[in-house]
Amino acid sequence: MRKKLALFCSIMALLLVVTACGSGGANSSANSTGSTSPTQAAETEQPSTPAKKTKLTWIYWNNEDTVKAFLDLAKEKLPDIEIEFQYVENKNYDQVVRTKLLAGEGPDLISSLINDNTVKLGYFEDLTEKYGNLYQDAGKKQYTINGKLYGLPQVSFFNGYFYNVEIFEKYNLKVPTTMNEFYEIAETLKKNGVKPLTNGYKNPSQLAQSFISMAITEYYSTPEGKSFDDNFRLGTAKMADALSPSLTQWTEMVKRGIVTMDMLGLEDPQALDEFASGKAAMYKNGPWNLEAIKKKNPNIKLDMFPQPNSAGGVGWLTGGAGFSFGINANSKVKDEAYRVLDLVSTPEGQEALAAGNLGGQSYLNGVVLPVPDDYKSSFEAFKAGHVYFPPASWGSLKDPIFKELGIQLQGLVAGATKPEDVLKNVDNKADELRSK
Amino acid sequence: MNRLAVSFRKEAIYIFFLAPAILLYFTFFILPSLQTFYYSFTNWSDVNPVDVTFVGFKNFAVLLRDEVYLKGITNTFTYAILYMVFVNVCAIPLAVALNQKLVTRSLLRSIFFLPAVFSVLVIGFLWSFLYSTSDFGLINQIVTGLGFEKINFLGNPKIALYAVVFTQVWQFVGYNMVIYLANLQTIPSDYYEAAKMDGATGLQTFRSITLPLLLPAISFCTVMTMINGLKVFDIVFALTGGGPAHATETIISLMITKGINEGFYGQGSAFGIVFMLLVLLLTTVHLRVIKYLENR
Repeated sequence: MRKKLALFCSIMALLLVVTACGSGGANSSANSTGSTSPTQAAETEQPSTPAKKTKLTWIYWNNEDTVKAFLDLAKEKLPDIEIEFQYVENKNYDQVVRTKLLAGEGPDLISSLINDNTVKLGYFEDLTEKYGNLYQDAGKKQYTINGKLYGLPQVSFFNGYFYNVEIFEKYNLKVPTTMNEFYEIAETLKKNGVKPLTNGYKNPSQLAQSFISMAITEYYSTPEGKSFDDNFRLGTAKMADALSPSLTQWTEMVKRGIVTMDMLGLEDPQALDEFASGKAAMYKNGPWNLEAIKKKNPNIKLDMFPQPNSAGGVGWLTGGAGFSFGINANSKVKDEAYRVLDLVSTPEGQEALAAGNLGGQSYLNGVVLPVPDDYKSSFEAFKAGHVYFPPASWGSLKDPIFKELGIQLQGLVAGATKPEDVLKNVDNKADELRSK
Repeated sequence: MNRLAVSFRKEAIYIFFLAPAILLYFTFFILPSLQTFYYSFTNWSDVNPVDVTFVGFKNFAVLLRDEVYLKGITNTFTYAILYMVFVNVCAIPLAVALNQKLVTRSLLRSIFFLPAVFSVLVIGFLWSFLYSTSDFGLINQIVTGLGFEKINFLGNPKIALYAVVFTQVWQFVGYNMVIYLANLQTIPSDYYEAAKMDGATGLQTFRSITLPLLLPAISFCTVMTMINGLKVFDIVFALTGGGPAHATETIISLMITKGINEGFYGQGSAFGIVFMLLVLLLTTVHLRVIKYLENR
């Protein structure tokens, strides 16, 4: 009898545990106070009960500090919504979020990951009708698949040549407007024992960034280059056919000892140290490192100039939308997610998002954000709209092809890959990826 | 109660205690292994995550054609063999030396063992700064201070792999030394006394007594270092990321890049199967050689 009683108690305890476990889901439970979904909450809410918060998740690859201003604004403007911010490191971001989406879960707000495949798999809400007219085409392009907008482009990033103003003044150097002037500057610096350029080319993406900057000024900015990215994504255009002259121009930097094999052994923080300490005069990077440079050397006077064009004129910065806001099609709190996107799409929302990335520009129509003096020499490029990031239009090829381009360029710098094979190998990789 | 019932009850108790371990083993090893085998013959990818179809040996054929995969296999074998040889060749004399009656014996043992305590990733980031070609790289500061040219340890594709091997030999010599020390302490001192009375030199004693009696530790350490060498990933990830220009790519780093990051799940699975077979083959040969030496 005692055994039977014990067995009965055990089964009841087990049932209680199982029932408790099954009552909550990632998105279904609003918070610890127990509300479930906005609809249910609206049905059951009594006037006298305190306002219940609906929780929605947002996964992003920059740390919470960079979006703190926006999270604070959301807390103030949307008091019934609690945004649960989750940080996932950039290099793991796609994999982590893709796995969650594949399992029918994932965050309610997704930054980036919008491409032909993810849209085909139905992971994202179509935002065209509600937000299509609010944002500039330049920003929308990379998040528009088959004519529909799936992500709202946010604060732009850009990449140019940071230079040490004091070193430039010491040797009477002026901001270059052509590649020949750039080479002359490098030569003068080398003669005076100053390393002209430093970069952490151990990371292949940094090397790819350098080449892409050259390709923008030499090819993408020409009428023939306008449609290349779309054709490349579809497989109707080859890099080897279109970008070989740009590669020849870029190889000059290797031949002239500006890009060296030593840089292949450098991490980005090590390159940053070299620049901040005045051992190198130029450092190709973006605003996300400005604070780190100034922290290393608070007295440094720096500025940024865009990639010079071999023919002269206003140069180009490499850049585009820093990230996007998309809504998970499987989200259980879509109404709330739309309300967050409504807030994002206001000038106030844009200013708050830009607070953690000073210098970045807004793609929301009519919103112009201030550019700090640290980018004085790039004002003309900003004004002319000379900010472009070709890989953003490569769809699902973007990350693997950008990395492969960098790997092949590493081979070129190290003398292990022939210049004529660099772009061919990248094309082969793109074919392999398209054939999946 | 008959004997059958007693026997069944006994078995049931064993099964009850073993069940959690078996369940975990089945869930996290057997089942994924079987699934990997199945997926290696399919077109499973990030583009095609649900409706997978059978593609025969296509994924295996790609492995044999792709230069990067072949480079990864070559690098892995080079790494594993160099790592195994150097770790053991350094650990044995070190263990013999620190088995002597030295005043600083305990301190030296701790110092040599210490690097093994740290995570491989920590060691990787540490060496990344030591090897740096910037003016802040300690080793290159010494090298240039002595009047030589800087050595591009991690940026030169011809030497990057060897630079990676060196860090791991440095980190794990002490760990293997401890295993050899444990074995050395089981060798009866009578043998050494007898050898001394017979007038054997130190080298003769080492060759005829120490080395043969160290074979149990040698077989364990060499097999383990070989297997760990074949599985190398974290140090490559921390030091070079597989570069420059695929120069330090290994089987596991490629499995992660191609099989996961690039979404070629089927190819990644096939590479996993090939990797398992290669490890099986190599360790079988290795164990046979050790057994042959032990029998001699």
